[in-house]
Amino acid sequence: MIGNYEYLVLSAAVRLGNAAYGASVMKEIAEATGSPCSVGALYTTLDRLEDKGLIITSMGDPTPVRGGRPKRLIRVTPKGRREGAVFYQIVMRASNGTLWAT
Amino acid sequence: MGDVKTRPTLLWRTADAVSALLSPAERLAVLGDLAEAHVRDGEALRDVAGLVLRRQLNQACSIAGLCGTFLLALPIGIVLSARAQHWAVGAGVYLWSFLRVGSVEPLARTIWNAGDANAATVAVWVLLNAATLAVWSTGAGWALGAFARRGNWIPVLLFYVTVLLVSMIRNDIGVLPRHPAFAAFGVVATATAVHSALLVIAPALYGLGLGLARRPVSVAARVAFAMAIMLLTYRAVDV
Repeated sequence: MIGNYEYLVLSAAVRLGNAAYGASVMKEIAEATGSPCSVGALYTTLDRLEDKGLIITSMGDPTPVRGGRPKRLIRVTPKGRREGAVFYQIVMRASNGTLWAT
Repeated sequence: MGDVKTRPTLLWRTADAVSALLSPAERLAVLGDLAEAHVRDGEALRDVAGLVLRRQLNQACSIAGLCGTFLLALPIGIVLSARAQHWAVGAGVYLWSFLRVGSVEPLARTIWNAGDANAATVAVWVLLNAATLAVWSTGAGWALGAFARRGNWIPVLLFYVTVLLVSMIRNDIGVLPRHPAFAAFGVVATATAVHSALLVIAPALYGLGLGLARRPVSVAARVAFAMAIMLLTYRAVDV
């Protein structure tokens, strides 16, 4: 089973589709969690997900907004989508009937 | 390659410099993400340093990293610095003797039983020792450069730390009288520092540069270097 942070990265990448790369995924995670996402944590998680075959990354073209540097593009594999769905189902089942409000 | 033109702050320049320890492609992607996300300079430095640290620890724990550390960096660092200190004791005491009484012969004949040594033969001995250390250290640095070229810097760092620590901790000059009047003590300590700094660390840095360089070293230079190592090592065995 994937970890919490891996799930955050996977779901952000699925939402972003072709626009998924380092900075955009960091922004998505920061908005979803309300806390900043460090580039170090993101890149090590990307490596782990890639090793597990859940994503594929590739270098994109350089863009002016990035000072002429390329993006590390992220594509979620079918296996990654399945793992994300499994994690989501587990969280939903585990949360069923649980009241968190105090 | 960095973004120092658009963000000419010290922190960003430092982050840019630290990111050089990442692979070239990853470095560009990381700096691009930080620039696009408008991450503050201090946070950028922290993020880049954290990523570099994680990468280095991962590499250090790999088979290649462990081999580089335990089969190359640590043993060679210990041997080189210990040998540098050993020869420094000889060079330092001979130098002290020469400065004190204008001759090295009594010292060579009485204390070290080194035969008919005169200033010229001692000078040749010191120079050959220096050349041996320099060549060995250059070779070690060159080998470490192969690891650094793959982004594996922990063995390189450990090599230099080992050389510095062993040079400071190991103490061959303990065989000498420690009375303050014995001026050779200071001469030997100075010689040890010079040996470690100039004949181990500096050549190893030069060798590291050779190992990091993309341009290949000519076959003739490699053969000459190998011959020098072989001949000087052969001579050093008897020293």
